[in-house]
Amino acid sequence: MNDSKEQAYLYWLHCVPGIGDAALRLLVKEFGSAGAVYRAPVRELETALGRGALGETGRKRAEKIEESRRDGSVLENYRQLEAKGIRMVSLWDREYPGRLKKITNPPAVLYYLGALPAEERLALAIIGARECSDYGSYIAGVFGERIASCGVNIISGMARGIDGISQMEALRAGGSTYAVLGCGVDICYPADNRRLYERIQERGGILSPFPPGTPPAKNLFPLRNKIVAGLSDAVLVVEARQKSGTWITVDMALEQGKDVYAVPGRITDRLSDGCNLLIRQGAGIALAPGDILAELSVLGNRKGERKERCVRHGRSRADSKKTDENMPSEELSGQERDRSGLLAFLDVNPSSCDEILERAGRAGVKLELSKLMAGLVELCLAGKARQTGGNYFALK
Amino acid sequence: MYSTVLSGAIYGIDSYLVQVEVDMSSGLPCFAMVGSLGGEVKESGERVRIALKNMGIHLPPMHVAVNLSPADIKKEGTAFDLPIAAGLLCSMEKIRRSALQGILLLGELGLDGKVRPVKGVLPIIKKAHEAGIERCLIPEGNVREAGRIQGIKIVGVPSLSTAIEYLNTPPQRQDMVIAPFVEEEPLWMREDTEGKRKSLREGGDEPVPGEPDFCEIVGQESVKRAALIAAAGFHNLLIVGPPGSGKTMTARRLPSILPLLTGEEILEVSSIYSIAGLLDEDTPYISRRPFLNPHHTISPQALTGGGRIPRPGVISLSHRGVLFLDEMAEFKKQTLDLLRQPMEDRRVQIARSCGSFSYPADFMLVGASNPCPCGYYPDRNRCRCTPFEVRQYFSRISGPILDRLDIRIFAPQLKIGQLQGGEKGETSTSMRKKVTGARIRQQKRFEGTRLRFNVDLGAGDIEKYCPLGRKEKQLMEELFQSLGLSARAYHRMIKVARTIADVEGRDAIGREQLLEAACYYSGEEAGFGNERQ
Repeated sequence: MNDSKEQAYLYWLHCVPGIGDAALRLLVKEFGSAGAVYRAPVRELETALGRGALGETGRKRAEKIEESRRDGSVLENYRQLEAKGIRMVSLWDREYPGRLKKITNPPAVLYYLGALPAEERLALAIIGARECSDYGSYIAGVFGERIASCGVNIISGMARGIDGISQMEALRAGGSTYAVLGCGVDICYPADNRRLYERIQERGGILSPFPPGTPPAKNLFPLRNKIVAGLSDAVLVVEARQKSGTWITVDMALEQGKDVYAVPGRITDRLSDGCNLLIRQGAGIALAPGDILAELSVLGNRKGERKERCVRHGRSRADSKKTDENMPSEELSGQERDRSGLLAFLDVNPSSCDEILERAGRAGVKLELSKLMAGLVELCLAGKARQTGGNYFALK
Repeated sequence: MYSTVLSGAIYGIDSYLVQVEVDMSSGLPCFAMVGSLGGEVKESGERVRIALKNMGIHLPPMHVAVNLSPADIKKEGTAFDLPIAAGLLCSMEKIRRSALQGILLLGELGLDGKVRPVKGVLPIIKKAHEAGIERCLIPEGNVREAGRIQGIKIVGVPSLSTAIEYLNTPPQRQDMVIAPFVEEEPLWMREDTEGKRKSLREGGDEPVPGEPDFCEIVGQESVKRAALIAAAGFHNLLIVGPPGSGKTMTARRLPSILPLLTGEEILEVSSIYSIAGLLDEDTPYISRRPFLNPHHTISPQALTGGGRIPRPGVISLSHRGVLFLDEMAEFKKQTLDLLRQPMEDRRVQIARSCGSFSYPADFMLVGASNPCPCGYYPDRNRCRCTPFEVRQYFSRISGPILDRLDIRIFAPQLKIGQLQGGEKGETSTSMRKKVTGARIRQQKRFEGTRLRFNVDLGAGDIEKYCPLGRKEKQLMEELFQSLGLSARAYHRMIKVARTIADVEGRDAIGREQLLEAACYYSGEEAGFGNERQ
């Protein structure tokens, strides 16, 4: 069933409006192949679809198939797809991701740019709010980078905020990452992430269950989230509001029997409400990338052949403990290098000059405001701090 | 009988003297007025006739002609009533001809013969003084305003009958009828009337009464620092912050730390207000730095000045003071763009079919804005604006205007502890001393050039007036690279560093000043929404 002709018919069938995943599966099962569906008489299609009690009456759908059949440019359309470098894989192919096959109602067809995630590699989904805080973006970056550098695939949705940041940092660390989109793979959504979109194709893949050209729409995201969860061995939530799309992914992951981890936050931060709530409900607490790596390597052990890879690529459990110590709070250990001693008063969340001055004052360091400002810009030049906008400064 | 009376009028910001000629001759009885007159000037004849009638003086049934010379300039305003009345009375031989020699008359008449105050007295009196005229007879309500001009006798009259009585009194006894006006200046102003220099050196030791003071602002030290530096170099300032962070409070207090107006400047600013008709008996002249905060729905005409004969707009009214644009991102792009030329030339040119007018507009622009549409960025607990929306919000402010805002500061949300702390900050008086000190340094540096403040420095002047050492140049290179500066931003940063050095009393620009200047400038745009992606 792997020949390109059959793929072309499958692509055609998937693009017929009104034919969803379920109908497609049903038809292919009934007629043996998409090619056979293409050749089948309308009457038979009608009966097959009618039997499936699929909401809309069989007649209407069969008419739609008949209509798009008349067009006759099936092979040409598929060739155009190939020309764009977009590949597709269906449920009946060997290359179809094994993890996805195990979930209920997996998408029948996946389109992708780049590659599909390797089966033997562990995979972690890092997800969270689009409008995240600086704390969130910092954490997403650190977790993405550390975990990817240990050879774990990072799966996410390439959205603004947590998703994109963790994937970008994963790539920067030399790891691979896969993005599942809520639109066609040929559409870069959000457009801001264009650079990430291009780089992921080189070091991982862009996946989507929707035919190329499908514009992003609200109702497509739940399926996207389901696939993000389905492709991963565990899900890490970095930052989420109490009500957000992240919950869909988490619910799907739990349904699929996967572990969910959450990064705790301050209880006054609305953006950490989701995570804290998850922890209360029993999610794993992720205090450092090492926590996740340790859990994943246990998972790897259970899966036998994966063990070696994880250990070789990354660090053993003891090693990852070491990484823990370098986690956020301790990262400031380079204080000897900071002559002004100002780094101690900076946080991953941006603070205004006034706040920093106040903190310094409380610690007994009397500073003039002008000296403080100069010192902070100096730290930025040294690459230890960053000015986030206005006179706000944060740790880099 | 022919008679002539001296009066004056304004044309744009300029004033000129007008000869009011009255002739009465035998012929068909009529009352004709000529000399390129506006509507309200034409009506003057009716007011004068009735005012005279109500005093018991009837115009004789003769051919009466009134001409205002120079006859080719369009005349507006009601100030010609009194001179026309005097001219008529002179022609009727009710006033001595000699009494009208060397005296200038201004004033509007009521039908009952009262003399009412008029607009633009100050610039006209100034012109009269320059022309060597010794006495002015003006409405009583305008005397304090006119009193700003030294060396000319100001006589205020309440009514036409008093004016006649005054004019008919022999010169040596005239002062007994109405004493010439003598201004008693308030103590805090006294020292700065003698000249610019003196006021800069000595003025400003005392707080200006009734003006808001910087010590009332709790916390916000960095905003205050930015305000101080902006005031010292006359730099334009942008304050960004969430609602209630004290943006408007800060802007309102800026005039209080600018050096006091010198006598010359008071005259200049008051003249503009006089023309706009904004002076009255309670505020006869403008002695404080103006502060104007137009609403963001302001029309272009109101901003730059408008009308057939343009009246001064908001930017001219804020001459030598502060023009505060609250919610700057809400202003229409076209409106804001109108500020470009005045900010460059320090004057505004308005062309009309009847001529081109130029008003001074040397103001300090202070903009305030929310950081994002909802106003709470970067507090992510409250703000759910996307980075795109945040960036978009600032792109509404036109680039060239944003470019001219040398100092940009973010006012953080105040914490309740700060509000209740009650620790008073630095007073305006103490800040003004620092500003004045920095101004004196600038004055010395720019002696004999067209430059006045550091903000006026062009790219070419920077080499000359802001030389950098080898190490400082190296630092600028580093900053240039890491901040991705444009050439314009580079110069702006050096200008601000120059002012910081002036405030601190240094001759050379040091590393610290450059770094602090960099702190007030964090990106090509306003520097928000450039979150790590």
